[in-house]
This record gives sequence, C-alpha cells and structure tokens, in this order.
Amino acid sequence: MAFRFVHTADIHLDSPLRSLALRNAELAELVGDASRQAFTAIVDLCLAERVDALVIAGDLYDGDQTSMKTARFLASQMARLHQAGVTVYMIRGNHDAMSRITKQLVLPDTVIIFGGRCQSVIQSGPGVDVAFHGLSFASPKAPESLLPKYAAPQEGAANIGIMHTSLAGSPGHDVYAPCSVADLHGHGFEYWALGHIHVRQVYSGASALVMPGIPQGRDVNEAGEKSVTLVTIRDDRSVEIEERLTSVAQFERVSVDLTGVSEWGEAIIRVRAGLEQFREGARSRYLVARLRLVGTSALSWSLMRDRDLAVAEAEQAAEQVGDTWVEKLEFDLSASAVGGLGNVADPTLELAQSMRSNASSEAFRSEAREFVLKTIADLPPDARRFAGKDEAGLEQFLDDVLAGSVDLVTARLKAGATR
Amino acid sequence: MRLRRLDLTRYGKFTDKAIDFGEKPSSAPDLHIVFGLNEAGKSTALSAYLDLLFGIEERSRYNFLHEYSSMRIGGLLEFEGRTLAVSRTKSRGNSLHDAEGRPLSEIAISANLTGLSRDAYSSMFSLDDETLEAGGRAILESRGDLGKLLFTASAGLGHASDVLAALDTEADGLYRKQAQSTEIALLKKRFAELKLRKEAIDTLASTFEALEAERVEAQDKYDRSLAERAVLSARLATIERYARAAPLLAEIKRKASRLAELPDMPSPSRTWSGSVAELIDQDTRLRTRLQANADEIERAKAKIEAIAVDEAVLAISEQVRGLADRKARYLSAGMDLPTRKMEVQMLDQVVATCLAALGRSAEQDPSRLTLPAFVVGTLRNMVEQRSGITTSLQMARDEAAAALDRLNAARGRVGEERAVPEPARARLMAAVSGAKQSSHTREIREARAVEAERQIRLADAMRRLQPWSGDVDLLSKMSVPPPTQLAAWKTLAADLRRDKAVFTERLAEYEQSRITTSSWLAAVRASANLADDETAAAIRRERDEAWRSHRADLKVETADLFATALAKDDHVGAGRLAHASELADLRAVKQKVAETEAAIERAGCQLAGASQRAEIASAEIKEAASALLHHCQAQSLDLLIGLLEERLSARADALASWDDILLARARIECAIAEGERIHLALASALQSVGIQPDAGEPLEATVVAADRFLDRQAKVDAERAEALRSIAAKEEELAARRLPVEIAERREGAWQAEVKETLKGTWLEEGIAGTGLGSVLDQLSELSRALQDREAMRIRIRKMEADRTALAEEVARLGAKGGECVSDEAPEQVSVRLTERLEQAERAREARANLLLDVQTLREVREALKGEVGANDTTKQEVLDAFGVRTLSEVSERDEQLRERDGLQSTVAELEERLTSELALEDFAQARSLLECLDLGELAIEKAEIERRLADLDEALQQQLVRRTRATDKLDAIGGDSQVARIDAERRTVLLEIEEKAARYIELKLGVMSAASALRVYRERHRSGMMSQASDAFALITRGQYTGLTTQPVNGGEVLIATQRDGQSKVADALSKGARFQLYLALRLAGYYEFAKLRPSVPFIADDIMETFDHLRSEEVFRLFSEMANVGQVIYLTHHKHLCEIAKSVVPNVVIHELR
Repeated sequence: MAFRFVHTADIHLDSPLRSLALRNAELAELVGDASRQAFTAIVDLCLAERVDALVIAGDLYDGDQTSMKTARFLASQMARLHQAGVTVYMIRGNHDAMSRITKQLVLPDTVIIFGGRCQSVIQSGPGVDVAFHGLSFASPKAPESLLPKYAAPQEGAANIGIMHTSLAGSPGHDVYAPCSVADLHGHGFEYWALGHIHVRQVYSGASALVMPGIPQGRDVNEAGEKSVTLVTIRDDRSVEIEERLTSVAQFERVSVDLTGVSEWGEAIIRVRAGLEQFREGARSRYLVARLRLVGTSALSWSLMRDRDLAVAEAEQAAEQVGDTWVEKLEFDLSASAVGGLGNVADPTLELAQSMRSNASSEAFRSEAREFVLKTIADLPPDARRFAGKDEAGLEQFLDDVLAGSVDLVTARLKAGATR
Repeated sequence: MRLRRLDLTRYGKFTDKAIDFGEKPSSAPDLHIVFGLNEAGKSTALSAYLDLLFGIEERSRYNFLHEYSSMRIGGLLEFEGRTLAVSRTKSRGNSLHDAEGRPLSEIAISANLTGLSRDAYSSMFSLDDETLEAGGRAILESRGDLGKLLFTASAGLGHASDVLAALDTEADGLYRKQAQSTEIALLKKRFAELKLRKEAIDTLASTFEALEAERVEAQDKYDRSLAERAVLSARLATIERYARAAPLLAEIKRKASRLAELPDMPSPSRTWSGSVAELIDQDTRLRTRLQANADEIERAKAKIEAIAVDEAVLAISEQVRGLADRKARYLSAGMDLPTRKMEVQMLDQVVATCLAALGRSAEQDPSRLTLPAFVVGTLRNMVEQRSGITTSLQMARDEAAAALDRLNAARGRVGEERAVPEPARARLMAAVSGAKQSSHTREIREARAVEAERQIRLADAMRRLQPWSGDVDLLSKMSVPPPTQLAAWKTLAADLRRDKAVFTERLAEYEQSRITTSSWLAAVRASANLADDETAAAIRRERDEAWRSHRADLKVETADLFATALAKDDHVGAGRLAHASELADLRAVKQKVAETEAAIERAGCQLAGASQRAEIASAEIKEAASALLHHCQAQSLDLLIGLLEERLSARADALASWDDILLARARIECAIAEGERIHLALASALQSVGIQPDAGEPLEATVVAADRFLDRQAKVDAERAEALRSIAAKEEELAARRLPVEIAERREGAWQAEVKETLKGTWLEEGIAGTGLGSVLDQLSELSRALQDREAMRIRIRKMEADRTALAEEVARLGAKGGECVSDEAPEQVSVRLTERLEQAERAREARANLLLDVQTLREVREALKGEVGANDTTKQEVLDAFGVRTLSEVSERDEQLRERDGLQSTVAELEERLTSELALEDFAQARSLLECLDLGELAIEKAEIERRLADLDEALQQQLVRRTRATDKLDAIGGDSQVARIDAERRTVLLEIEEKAARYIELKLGVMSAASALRVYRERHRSGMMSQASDAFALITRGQYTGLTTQPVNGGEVLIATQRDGQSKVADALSKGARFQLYLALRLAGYYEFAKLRPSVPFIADDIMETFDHLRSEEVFRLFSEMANVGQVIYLTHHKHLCEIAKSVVPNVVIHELR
C-alpha cells in the first residue's frame, strides 16, 4: 500500500491563451478554454488514479480574473474531488493574492487552504501517515525566503512541504519568496511541492524537489508539452515521481531551413515537413507553431515580399498536417552566401546599406522613436507592450523594426525587378 | 569583364554554335551587333550568357531540344587581360568547369562581378523595349526627384517610386490617426464590443459578495421570525381551548337544575304495540265510521221509493227507434222536389229551341230526327277536308292573275329612248382621252412655281448685296476679284492672326517674369537687408565727402560727421561682405530684370509690325473689290475678307436665280400652245354627236360635257337590254301558274259528290248546302243530349213522392199504440215526441236498480266495523292499567315527563366528557375547578395581542423568503460555463492582432522614411559622376533639341531639369513621352559609366530598343553606344537590317555577327 497524490501549480484558471492563431475561429472554439480543459484533466487524473490527495502549490488563478463563473467552475471541480474522497491541499501564490474571487469562494471541507502561518496537517494513509506543511503569503510580493517559517519534519510521518517560490530566480518570472535548492534539500522533508515557475523542473537530492510547471502553456514563451506530477509515497517513505501530460494545446517554435530552395512549391513542402516532424513529436491534442524560415535561398526576397501568400500557404500546410495551426511567420533568410561587402555594385543593396546606416544613426533613430511613441499612444493600453516594456525594450524594438523595414523595402525592390 | 566567345554547345535550338566576339580592339570601340531575324535565337543567346555567368536556371525553358542533363554552354571570358575558358552544365552543384572539364568554383566568376546577382546584372546591364518603357514611366512617377531618377537608372529599375508609394498606401490601410476604417480602427472597435459583451454576461466577485450577504441575512431573519411564531401560536391555541370550555360548564349546570324538577319513578315496560296517541286516535275514528254507515242506508231507501217508470212506451220501443232513418229521408225529399220540377221545365225549353234551329218546330217526335252514328262520323270527316280544298283553289287563281299583271307591265317598259350611232361616239371618246392624257397644265403649274421661288431668292440675294443697288444686268457685268486671289488673302490673314497670338502670349509671359523677378528682387533685398551697389556707392561717396570736409576743417563736428559716415560705410561694407552670395544673387536678379525689359520691348515691336501688314492687305482688298465693298467699314482684315466672301456668294446666288427664271418662262409658253390644239379637236368631235359646245367654254368644261354625254349613252343601252330579258321571264312564269288552278278545281267537284252519296236515305237527303252541313250536325247532337236528360229527371221525382207517403202512414199507426193524440199534427213532430218518452223511461229503470245494490253493500260494512270496535276497547284498558290513570290523555302527559328526564341525564354525561377532553384533564372535577379559577376577560385581551403579532410575523416571513429566493436564484444563475473565459481569449487575440498590425505599420512607415533618406544619400553620392555624362548623352541623343540637364533644389530635395535649345527648361516629368525614353537612356548610360568608373566594366547588352526611334535618333544612339564601347563591351541585339547599316555608317569599326 502507498500514499498517492497529484502535484500541480500555476493553473492560472481562465487566463486566456496569447496567440494570433486564435484568429482562426475553429481553433478558438477548440482551445478558447484550454486552462479549464487542463484543470478538468487534472481532476480526471485524480479520479482515474484513485489518489488520496491533490496538491496545488499556488497560482490557481490569474490576478486579473474577476468573473465568478471562474469560481463556480472551480467549485464544481472541487465538488467532484470531494465526492471521490480526494483531499485538496492548496496554498496561495502571488497571483492568487491579487485575485478578488479567492475570498468569495466556498469550498468543501476536504479542501484545505493553508493560511498565513505555517500549518501542518497529517493525513493517515493505509500504510503511512503523511504530514502536509503549507503556508500562504497574503501579499503579491514576498521578497524574503519563507522557508524559516516552515515547521520541522514530523517524526514517523512522511513530510511534504508546499511552497510558492521563484527559487534562485528564473527569467520571465517575478522574484517571489526566493530560496535556494540546497536549503530546501536540507530541511528534512521527503518531498517539496513547489510552484511559481512555469517550466517543469525536478531537483533530486536529499528530498524530491519538483516544480511541475504550468499545466497548459499560454503562449509560445511557454512552449512544449505541459504536465503535472503523480507522486507515490511508499510505506518505507521512499518517493516515486511520474510526469503526466495535461496540455490540450502546445506551442512550439518551428524553424525551417530553406537553404538551396529556389521554388515556392519546394519551400512549402519543406514547411510542411517541418510541421509534420513537430506534430509527430507532440503529444498534446493541438499544436500551435510559430514558424521561422531560415537559411540562404534565392527565394528569400520573393517570400518576404509576398508574405501574405507565404502565410496562407503555411496555414494550408498546417491544415494538411492536421490539428496544427501557424500563429506567425518569421523570416531569418539571406539571399545569397556572399553578403553585402564594402564595394557593393548593386544599387539596391547600396540603398539597403544606406538604410541600415540610418538605423544606427541617432538622428534618424530619434525621429523613428518619436514616431513609434506617437503611434503607440493611440492604441489601447493593453496593446502597447509590443514595443518594449522599458527604454531598453523600445531600443530593441527599434532595432528589430528598422532591420525589418530594410528587408521589406529591399524585398519589394528586388523581387519586383524580376516580375 | 569581357565576353570573348559564347559557346552554345547544347542549349535551346542551338547545337555546337559559337559567337566569337574576338579580342578587344585596341583603338576602336568594342561595339558588336548580333543580327538575326525573328526566332533566330537572340533571346536564347542572351539567356545563355546569363546562365553561363550565374548557372542554368532551375526551370530553364531551353530544354526543348536538349534535355536538362545534356544541356551545356561555354565561353571564353576576359578578366583584366586574363582569359578564362569555362563551360556550364545544369546541376545543383559543381556546374562550372574549366577548359579541361575540371570543376571550378563559382568564385572564379563571381569574384569579378563585385557581388552582382543574376537579377541585378540583368536589370543593370541589359536593356530592352520593356525596361525602356518602364524607365520612361518611372521618370513621370518620380516627379523629377533626382535621387529616385539616379537610383532608378543605375539599378535599371522602373518601379522604385511605385514600391515606396505602395508601401505608404499599405501602411495607411493599417492605421491613420482618427480614421475609422483602417484595420487597427476596426480592431479597436471590436475590442470595445467584446468588453461590452463580457460585461453583459459576467458576474463580478464584488456583485457575488453582495448577493451572498443578502442571502445569508435573509435566511437568518427568516429563521428567527419562524421560532417566535411557533411560541405565540401555541399560547393562542390554549386560550382558544379555555374559551371553548367555559360555555360547556355553564350548560352542564343548567341541565342539572332541570333534572331535579322531574318525577323520580321507573319508566313502565311497554306490552302493547303503538303509542298512546295512536290508541286515542283509533278509538275515536271507529265510532265515527259506525254512525256514518247507518245514516247512509236510510238515505238510499228513501230514493228508491221516489222513482216512477213509463211502461207504455217501453212496449213499442223497437218501432219508435226504427222511425229515425225514414224521417230523415222524408225531410230531405220535401226540400228537393220543387228544384227538380224546375229543371224538367228547362229541358223542355232546350228541345223546343233545337227543333226550331233545324226548322222542324212542328215535329211531334223529336227523336225521329236523330241521324245514325256512322253517317255523322263520315260527314264530320268530310267537313274537315272541305276547308283545305277551298283555300288551295283560291291561292292558285290569285297567283295566276298576278303573273299576268307583271307581264303586261314589262311589255310597257320597252323602247322609249334610242342611242347615238357608234362611230360618232368612238371619235368623241378618242378626243376626250387625248385631252386627258396631255400634261401641259401640270407643266405650266410647275414652271410657275419655280419662277416664283427663284424670284424670292433673287430678291434675297439682292438684299444681301446692299448697300449696292442696281438690276441683274448691271450685276452680271460687274468686275470681281478671282477666287485664287481671295485664297491668298485668307492665308495671309491666318498667318497674321497666329503671329499676333504668339507675340501677345510672349509679351504676357515676359510681363509675368518681370513681376516675379521684381518681387524676387524685393525679397532678396528685404531678406538680407542689403544695400545694393548704388546705395553702397552713395554711402561711400558720402563718407569720402565727410573726410574731405573734415580734412579741410579738422573740427570736432566734422570729425563726428566723418565718424558717423565711416561707421555707416563700414556697416554696409561688412553686411555686403557677409552676404556676398546674396549680393551676387541680387546682381543676377537685376541683370534678369534688365533682360526681361528688353524682351518686352522686342515683343511689342513684333506686334506692331503684324498690325501694319494687316492694314496693307485691307487696302488691297478694298481696291480690288471696290464695287462690292462700296461703303465698307470693316475693322479687321478677317472681317473684311469675311464680308467680301459673303458679297461674292450673294452675287453668284442672284445670277443663278435669274437664269432659272428665264428658263421657267419659256416652258410656260410651250405648254399653253399644246392646250389650244387639244381644245379644237374636242369641239369638233362633240359637234359630230350633235352637241354644240359654247364658244368661250374652257377645255376642262368641254371635257366634262363630253364625259357626261358618253356616260348617259352607255346607261341607255344597258337599260333596253335588261327590259327585253324581263318580258321573256314573265311569260314563262304565267304559264307555270295556270296549272295548279286546274288541279284545285277537280278536287272541289269530287268532294261535292261524296257528300251527296253519304246523305242518301236520311231526312236530309234532299236539300242541304255543303257549307251548312257542319252546323246541322252540331244541332242534332245537342237535341239528342237534351232528350236523354229530361227522361232521367222525371223518374227521380216520382220516387221521392212515394217515400213521403209511406212515413206518414207509419207515424199514425204508432201514435195510436202509444196513446198519443195525432189528429192534425205533422208526422215528424209525433215521431220526435215518441222518441223522447222512450229515453226517459229507460233512464228511470236503470237508477232504481243501482240504489238497490248500494243498500246491500252498506249493510255488509256495518257488520265489519262492529268487530273492530270490540278489539280496540280491550287494548285501551290494558294501557290505562299500566300507567295507573283513568283516561288516555293522562297517560300521554306522564309518558312525556319520563322521556325528558332520561334525555337530560345522558346529555349532562356527554358534556362532562367533552369538557374534560377539551382541557386535556383526567376528570370533570379537575376541569371544573380549573375553569372556575380563570379570568376570561384577561384572556380575550391576550388573544387579540397575540393575533396581531402573528400577522406581523407572517408578513416579515414572506419578505425574508422572497429576498432569500431572489438572491439564491441570482447566485444559481451565475453558472460555471466558460463564456467569459472565451470572450477574454478573444479579447486577448484582438489585442495581439492590434499589436501585430501596429508593428507592421511602424515597419512600413519607417521603411518609407528610411528609404527616402537613403535615396537622398544616393543622390549626393552619385550626382556629380552621373550628371555631366547624362547631360551630354541627352544633348546628343536629342540632336541638340535639349542642350543638357541641370538640377534645381526644391524643399527637401532636388529635381532634374532639362534645358531646351531656346533657353527654356522643363522638369523631367514634364517631358514628352519620347523625350522621357531618351532621358532614361541617357541616365542608364551615365549609370554605366558610374559603375565602370569604380569597378571593372561588364558587357552591356541592349535588345532592339530603337523600334520607335527615327533614323537620326538611331544614329545618335549608336554614337553613344560607340562611346560606351570605349569603356566596356557593348552588344546590341537586333532583327533590323537597316540598323546594322546605320551602325556601320556611324561606327565604321562595328562588328556584326549574324545569327542563323
């Protein structure tokens, strides 16, 4: 006999997907509620595996959620667990702290939400007693480590710590209750159920440290398959960890090398082959690809010029592959192996070079920057971030957009000449 | 680089073909012409050359003879004096080989092409009709922008402007500030819509909180109210029980006191049946009935005594009843008899009348006159036939008479008028037809109409010639200038008019220029606040004067004056020094002003000259046509010529009209003579038929008279012929009518004979006319019927009188038997009286029998009643004994009292039971003591209070229930569906789309900005190198029509301007289409020089670009190519033989390669 539980975190219930692929109404219908589908899958897993408990290590919601429909949905899923006799152990994460619906939710008494002081709950299993230690920090920011607040391990029981932490820090994630892996290993618990970072990580050592990652990626920055952890604590308190897939849709950056390709048809065949390769490797039901064309091809100018056509062809290829969508097409192509050297004979390339030097001229940049800021000011506040969150971001955006505009103009001039 | 030889080993239509361009000539231009007719393979050769340099194209079109795998080209290339033999096959890698067939790196060629791609090479160094056309268009679209033009020409592109404009348009489609229909604007709208939709269906956490609080509070209040209500309800129930119990106790007490008043004895046991009341009732009833029975018997006996019966009548009862029928017959006969007798008399009268009609009034036995039935039948039949026979005879006779009348009438109509003889009539007819066919009258009419119309025209033309006056003769003799002279004057006038317009326009242009330069001058002056040369000189003079005076006096005042003048001069000098360039402009402008003034003057002189020439011409015209232009005051030469033309045309019209008039008059005379000849012929013909026409009668009237005569003759002939035909017809008709008359007369005779035969042997045998036969028959039939009726009536009267006599005898006999006195009474009255007596006697006998039966029955009843009375008396005695009283009425009183007592006792017991159970106590004693302690008044007050409180509570409960239900419903309605989540997802997608479009917009706009700036840089870098080349080439190619190219700055840029030979200048986009082609060509050549200046040259290939050029232009182009060929190799592909010859004449050393 053994004690079994499912460990998940960062569900961000009803936080929408961020992908232009959802412009396709069919896909929007399929994955418009992907985070719910993932959460339902987690509950399904608990019931199918007849586990004893479900551990949610924070960020059940996104801070932005204010709809009680979200709460209702959650309550219905919790009721399913309650009926099946599965206890839920839950701490609040930085996003939950911001959520307004948290307070309103009435949950069954088999759902245990740890409060601001560390609390230890013992659940007696068939062969082993398990002590769950948890702590919810009430504020969205937790600059200090929370580890010192956790109780010492209980004698005679398997100890499981539940903690929302950014560990030593991770790009793209705010610092929250920072804490070193070594300290956690040294605390004497059998298992640390962590949350906050959206990429799955398992740190083996004295105890099992698992960051299960988000169960459903929301954009290409949360690419790849997403999962939860099924944990088995045997009677001798040894721990076994299994990863179980939960993502309904998975994002992937798909790079296709077009080197040597000189015909459209051939380029599309390569794109389809690239998508097929990813489709075969992806276990999630749906695949959303950000396609990047790379390499050296005589077709590069023509592809860049007829970008709309290229996008349409890529989308069609994805449809042929099945359950696959293209959210964006990016170009990283060069026309020929011999790059623009000092003495350029081709006036078009000379013009392009001149434009590139514009991009690095402060006078032109300041004019461009002003133009960008003016344009952005007229957009909805939520749609301004693409030009960078700060000054450095803006400069980066300028670099990108100016480089893009050189390619754009060159492609039009170049490709137009051979028409 | 140079192409020495091109090997078309296996390529397109070529197999082992080579074009050898030879070594570069040392002192002559390196110019080659490849000549081949259409389809000779010029384009193939060009493509082969590019394939040799850059590799055979993936989907080459030149595999129709040689497969891809076997395609091969080669050549000998020269690089800076070094030669390289290469060959090329079609494959993905290693397609380039050296002379020995070893693979060669692409760098061997590409290193010498300074990074040119195939596309770049073909756009920069080859030129064909299409690119020339596109280049011309590009000049138009560039609006003369120098940067764009230089770039377009160097890159060999025709669409650089297009591309930038298209990008700008694309960007505007994405976003424009405050535009409503750009893609981003639409997305923003969509975003707002989604927000509204979400708000419409979502429940926020805050709303939820409020609802939940409401629900909990309502539930709580509801529960509390409910508890309070329960307590109060219980108390109210108790009070109500007490209230119900109190009256019960009072009732019990009342009943107990009544009980005490009633006797206390046991109730007797009942041994009899029925109640005491019934017993009393039975006793009384029996006695009453016994008495009534006795009375009845006495009354019946008395009645029997009183009844008497008439026995006499009863003895003859049967006979009396038999009288009734016979008496009825007697009465009706008495009434009928007179009528019947009257009818017999009437029939006698009828018989007498019939006899009179038949003429036999004296006949004693009328029945003898009746005819046998078969005779009557035959006669009837014959009478019917008679009328048909008579009618047909009459009709036949009438028709025959009418036919005879008609024949006589027809005979009378023949032969009244006779016709004129035929020959005379024929002659007259010929004369009339000749008169009718003649057309002389129409000719006269037409000629007169023509004459009148020409007269009007003549008058009109004469009017147009005013103020000149005179007759036609004078007019025809007048001298006029010949048409050639007039044409010469018109040409002169047109020339003068055009010159005047040109000079006037030029004058206006110069005036405009003067105004412009003047304002420019003022502006230049104002802008720099400069002193011009004169002012400066004046100031300098002032300074020198001041110095002279100071030097003479050397005073403080003069020193000051000098200092001031010096300072002023210095200031002006310094200003002019600082603005040297403006000063130069100023001078130039002044120069321009002077030039403009001179030009104005020149133009004025030219205008005056033109006017003078016009006046001279006017005088000449007036002289030549003095008669027509007698008092003419025309202002201008044009007007004068117009007037002259008009007068000449009027004169011509007048003369022509006069000619027509003369002609018409001659025709009229001719026609009149013809008319007279015809008239004579006709008159003579008329006389020959005996008609003498009037002497002065016109021809038309004579013709009509003749016509009328001929018509009448024709009618007379026709009428006679018709009358003769009619007589013959009438004679035939008469013969036909006489036959039916005979037939009818035969039938009449036969009928008369038959009648006679039938009447033979009757009293009518002699003497009866056929016509009277019918009425005799009718009278005979009526007589026979009257005789029969009279006999029947007489028999009936006899029978009636016999009946009456029989009755009278019978009545007399019966009256005697019944004792009636019947002496002189009518028998019917006696009969009635007998009948009445019989009825009375029978009724009396029946009544007496009934009464005897009644008496018998009553006696039987009396015996039964006596038995019943005895039994009743026994029972009565028994009851009296039981109650111990003497009468039955006492018994019933006692019985009543005992019943009441028993009832009260059981009621009291029952009430006590109810009271005890109502109060839920064990026995009545407890209940009684409890109730006696209660104050009912206080309880009533308490009850009222509780009831009011309960009503309040009920209302409160209802309110809380509603609140709770409402809140619960709303909470339940929230639902856990994903609608809001899906809208959020859609909103997120819209935001991403906005971001994507905005980024694209920025990219497009910055691209356009950056490209514009890059084009400026391009211009700066290449203008000096290209402008002089292009200017020279343009002058050459336009054969000096344009002297060259120059530029002019405009805001933010510079435009290209072409200068014309006459000093005027045009911005490049204002050039004509042909000139634009030439300008593009010139710029392309300049681009080639610019390329070759910095890098080793490459061959330039032109493909038949001179289709639209004339001979001279073509020469100039070849001259240019020959110059270019001094810098690099130039190859010209053509299918025009004459171009080869032109090239040879311009460049004697040109090499011509013929392609076959």
